[in-house]
Amino acid sequence: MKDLYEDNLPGDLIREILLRLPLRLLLQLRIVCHLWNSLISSPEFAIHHLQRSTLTHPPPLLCWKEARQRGDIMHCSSQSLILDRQHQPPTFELHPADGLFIDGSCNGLLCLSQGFPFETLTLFNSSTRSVSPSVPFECSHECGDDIFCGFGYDTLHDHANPFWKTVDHPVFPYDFLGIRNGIFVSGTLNWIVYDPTIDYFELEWFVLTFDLETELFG
Amino acid sequence: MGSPVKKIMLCSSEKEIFSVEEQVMVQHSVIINNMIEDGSYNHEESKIPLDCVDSKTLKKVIDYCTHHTHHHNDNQEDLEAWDAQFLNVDSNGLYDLLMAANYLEIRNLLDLIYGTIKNMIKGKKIDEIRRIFNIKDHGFTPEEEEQNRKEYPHFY
Repeated sequence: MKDLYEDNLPGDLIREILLRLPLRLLLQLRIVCHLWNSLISSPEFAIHHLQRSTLTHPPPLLCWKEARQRGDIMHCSSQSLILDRQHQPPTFELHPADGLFIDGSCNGLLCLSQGFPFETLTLFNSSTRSVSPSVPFECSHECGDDIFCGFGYDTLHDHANPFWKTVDHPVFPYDFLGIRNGIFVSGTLNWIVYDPTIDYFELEWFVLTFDLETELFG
Repeated sequence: MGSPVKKIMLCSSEKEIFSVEEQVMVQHSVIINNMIEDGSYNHEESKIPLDCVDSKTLKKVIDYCTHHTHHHNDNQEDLEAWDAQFLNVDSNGLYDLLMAANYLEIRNLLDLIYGTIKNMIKGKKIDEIRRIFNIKDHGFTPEEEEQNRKEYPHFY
């Protein structure tokens, strides 16, 4: 019998095949050979795969209970949650969020912090179950306890390595509604705020938006 | 009487000439569509040379494009059954079709082949996948291979 493939397939065709496979299988396929490992591990592949899979499947949900003491992170498809009320999403058995705050999530990554105001920040990849090294949080100026934060992904300034950046901003005449963690939506971080000088009964809520590309608040 | 169907000539690697309805190839192949649109194909004397596609594969590709042009209104089930029968080839045949569909940029045929290969990968052990893709040298050191084996014991 002849060899199944007379020649090895060109890399770009292998890439097209791999792009169509589910993430969990891809993680395992990294050990098939060096070429596949470097294809699957490249940041460009990750971006294309994410774009492709969110087009064809609704993105899965990552939920967590308050992780102040011991939190549970759960993982389920958004469809199963809507269609099946009895659905018990699987919980990660071991995760690094114990004793840490979860500050936000984006594209399957969780941003975890320790201490308040932050002492260190860590990223947890829910797909590979890998944890980045803790990075000490540095603030260029005195900020006291008045910190609000957000975690998102900037497509314009795509960095190979995560980095922390402090953004100077004007003094906002607003207070936050409970949660100070920004929610990441389409390239922007969003917080619900209100103007504390307005009488309680006439209070209006606003959404404070920060665009990660332009680094402008709106 | 309607006007005669416009034909184009495709030439395989064995220099065999295939006469195909122009509309059939234009509709499916991005490359041939571009050649017709930019006027680089002359209907009087041109042949499109496909040096990397052999006659057997070219005939299959033309079959695919012709069927999908004339039966695109068939119900989905019938079309899928036809596709499954069409791709019932050995892996050499599949490889040749993939290369031809990629060269001619026939997107729906490419998607069909990618889907088939995807199903060939799912649930397979690592040795079978390496065999399917003819990977003789995986490029890992014995230590790395040992580590991989520990991490994914069920894959071996």
